[in-house]
Amino acid sequence: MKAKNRFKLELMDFSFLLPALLLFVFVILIPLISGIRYTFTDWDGLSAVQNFVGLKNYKTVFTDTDLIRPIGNTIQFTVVSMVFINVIGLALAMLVNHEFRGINVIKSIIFIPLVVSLVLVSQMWMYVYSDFFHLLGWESPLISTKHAMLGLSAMSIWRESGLAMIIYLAALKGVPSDVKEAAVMDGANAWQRFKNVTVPFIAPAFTYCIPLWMAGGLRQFDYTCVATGGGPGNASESIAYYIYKYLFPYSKVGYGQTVALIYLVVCIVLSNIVTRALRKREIEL
Amino acid sequence: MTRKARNNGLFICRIFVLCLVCLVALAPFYVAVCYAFKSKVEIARTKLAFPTSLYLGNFAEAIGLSNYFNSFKNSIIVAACVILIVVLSCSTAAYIIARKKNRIYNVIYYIFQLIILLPFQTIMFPLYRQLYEIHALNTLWGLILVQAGSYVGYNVFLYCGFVKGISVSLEEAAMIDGCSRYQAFSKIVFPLLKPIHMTVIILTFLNSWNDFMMPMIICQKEEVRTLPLMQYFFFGQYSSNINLAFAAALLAMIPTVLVYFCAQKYIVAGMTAGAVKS
Repeated sequence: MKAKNRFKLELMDFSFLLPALLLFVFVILIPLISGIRYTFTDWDGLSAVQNFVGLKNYKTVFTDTDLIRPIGNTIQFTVVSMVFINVIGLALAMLVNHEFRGINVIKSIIFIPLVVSLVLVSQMWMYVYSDFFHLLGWESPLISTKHAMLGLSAMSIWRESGLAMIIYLAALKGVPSDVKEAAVMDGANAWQRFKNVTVPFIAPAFTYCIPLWMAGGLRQFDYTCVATGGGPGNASESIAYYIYKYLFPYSKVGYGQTVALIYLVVCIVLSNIVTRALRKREIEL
Repeated sequence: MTRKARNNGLFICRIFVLCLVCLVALAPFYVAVCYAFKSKVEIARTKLAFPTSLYLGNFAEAIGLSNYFNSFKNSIIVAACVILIVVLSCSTAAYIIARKKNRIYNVIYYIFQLIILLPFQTIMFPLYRQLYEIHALNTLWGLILVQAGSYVGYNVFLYCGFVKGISVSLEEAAMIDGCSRYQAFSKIVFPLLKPIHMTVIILTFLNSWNDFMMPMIICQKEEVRTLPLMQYFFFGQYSSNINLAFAAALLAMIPTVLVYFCAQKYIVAGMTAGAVKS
């Protein structure tokens, strides 16, 4: 009798978890597992036949020269946006880390772009590039094969630096003022104070921000899809967009899903390596 | 004295740089607002010059388009349902994970956290097939389910951090007095979660309202399109009528801007939660 009661209680506790667990299983887990099966077939996503082709798709992925450009583009976008968002965000955080009248208005304005949808960001910037740049006599980066990806990075830097600012600001508020004052008394100059006092104290914020924008950059899809459609040629195609293209318009599900799966593994491994390295540095500092 | 003068100089530099940054942050909006308030002829003639008169015809025309109102309605339905599902399922799940110091619950918590790392591209096609098989493609409830599922990870994390800060003594007393866990949760814990509910509701609203990739594969048909998707097709279709397209886009942005100004505190809290914790 007692055991039965205990079981009932456990079941009741588990029922709290059930809705979230079911959502997770349906939306994430089942698709993730069933996707693995597609990578061994040449399925087009429509017909009833799915021929088993073994590891052919994997071989294709590793020898496909079409993939080089999207990989390069994604790396370029990730590095440029990650570096600039973090540097600008930290610089802004240090600038607004002072109390004076109007500071909250300034912070609000810098943060606004974050609530705009990526679709609208892309569309606004398309016209900034075409019409405003035209006014200044500059060429739109989106029509140049060399600078298209930088044009897209600028959109993401514009949209997300405000968030980096807010995160770094929260970290800067945690730097104890007596340590800062002691450094001033000891005659440390501004750069020394920044390097030896501020940076070690805000190291956890780096550990959070750098992987965050690395992951964001690796997944970049919306800007490419809306602003350039991958063009000119494939100059602004990201990996995420390349996968989408093969899965839907091109109907090469076997191949597309293989790229997607390898991409998942690379994303997780990279995130882990970077987070670990940053954690280790955090302790050393 | 000289030091004070130097500080004043630094202060002016600081203000100057910040004003410049604000200008850059607002400049792209100028393009959108400027074009939305000009007629087509005026755009062709004056381009980006300051609008001399406020022409409201674009807004009226945008609202008049049949699919515009419909998309607005779809976005509201989807956001509302996703919020409801997320709040109920994530608060209960986070509560039990935080209270039971049990291995199974811990493992499930870490698996949930992995969702945050998962690129949508990897599950995109299998999910599409799955929805096709249960006839959920091109339906709003299909989109609601998928959005809610992909927001579970981060929101369970947010709730968990908060629940851990609530003392257990109140619930324990209630349970000794004969309350079941359901009652203890709904009567005591759920109301205490109010600040984090606000954060979750607002973040989920922004994510759902601005989401483009999921509707893009699930809701292609015109009658189920949400606003970002409508906007995307709109710019393609009406590329010669950018005045109309920008007017529609600005109207679609109103709810997010309102939410931003009323609830900035909660947005900041939700987005920095991860950084503060580690």
